[in-house]
Amino acid sequence: MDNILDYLQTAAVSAGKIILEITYIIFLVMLLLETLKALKILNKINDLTYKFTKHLGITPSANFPLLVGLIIGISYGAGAIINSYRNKMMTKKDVLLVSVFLSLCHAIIEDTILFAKIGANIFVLVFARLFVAIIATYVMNKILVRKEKKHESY
Amino acid sequence: MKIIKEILKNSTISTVKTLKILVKVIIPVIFIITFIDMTGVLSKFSTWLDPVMKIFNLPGEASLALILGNVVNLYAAISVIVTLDLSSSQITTIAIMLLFSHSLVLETSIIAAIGVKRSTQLAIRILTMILIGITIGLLIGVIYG
Repeated sequence: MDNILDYLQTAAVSAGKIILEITYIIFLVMLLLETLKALKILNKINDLTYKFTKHLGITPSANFPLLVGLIIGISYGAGAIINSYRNKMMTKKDVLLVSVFLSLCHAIIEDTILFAKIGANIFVLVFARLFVAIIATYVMNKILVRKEKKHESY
Repeated sequence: MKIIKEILKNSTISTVKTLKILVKVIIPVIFIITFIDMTGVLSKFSTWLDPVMKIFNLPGEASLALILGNVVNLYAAISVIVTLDLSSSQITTIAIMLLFSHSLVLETSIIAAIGVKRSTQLAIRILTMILIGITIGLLIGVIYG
């Protein structure tokens, strides 16, 4: 009985903590996003970074969720990702490409610092993650494009 | 002033909308993970994997870090790594493996919420983890002998 109470308490406390933390960070991200939008800076950042990310095969509206996830991670960046998805700004292909990229590479600052602190090589960590994520997304895009073409030819 | 009001209103609305989805995903996941973690079943399971760790040029005990990192989170993995006697190149190997694949219960649930099958995500991440572990482990073995 004690075990069960202990379990419920531990789980409830950590769930509460995570929800609070996520609420706080998502709100900050949304605030930043809306401010950049209002100041008309968001478009400029998007245009500038899309020059690089367009090679992955995503549309411009998937660019921002990709950047947010890359920098702050999946759980915290979920706000921007889920938001674009709900507002139907991303195509099906976008969702798949962004997911492949972010599954392999996200929270690049926080995660890297975490392991650098215990002595891992920062350069290897950052380079390997970015490299593999870019290649995987690129290949996935080629596969999806080929599939689309096949459908058209029927 | 009007702009600030508008910004606050919009960010609150999108935060609430996102939270509605996330809370549904996160709460059950936390209860599941905490349960698995408390039963101690992971440490038993990880001993089976000890011999496999050789292919990554890692000691057998490192398997617990990999398992905890993948099921629970990176903090759980790091708390094990610091107790092991690893060279700095071995720390880099296990770090890069964990960075490709970690917190799978939680993160795959979130991405599943935008419509990507969990099996696809798991396949991509675990395969990449294994391949990169073998590659980096091998490279480090060649470089440092």
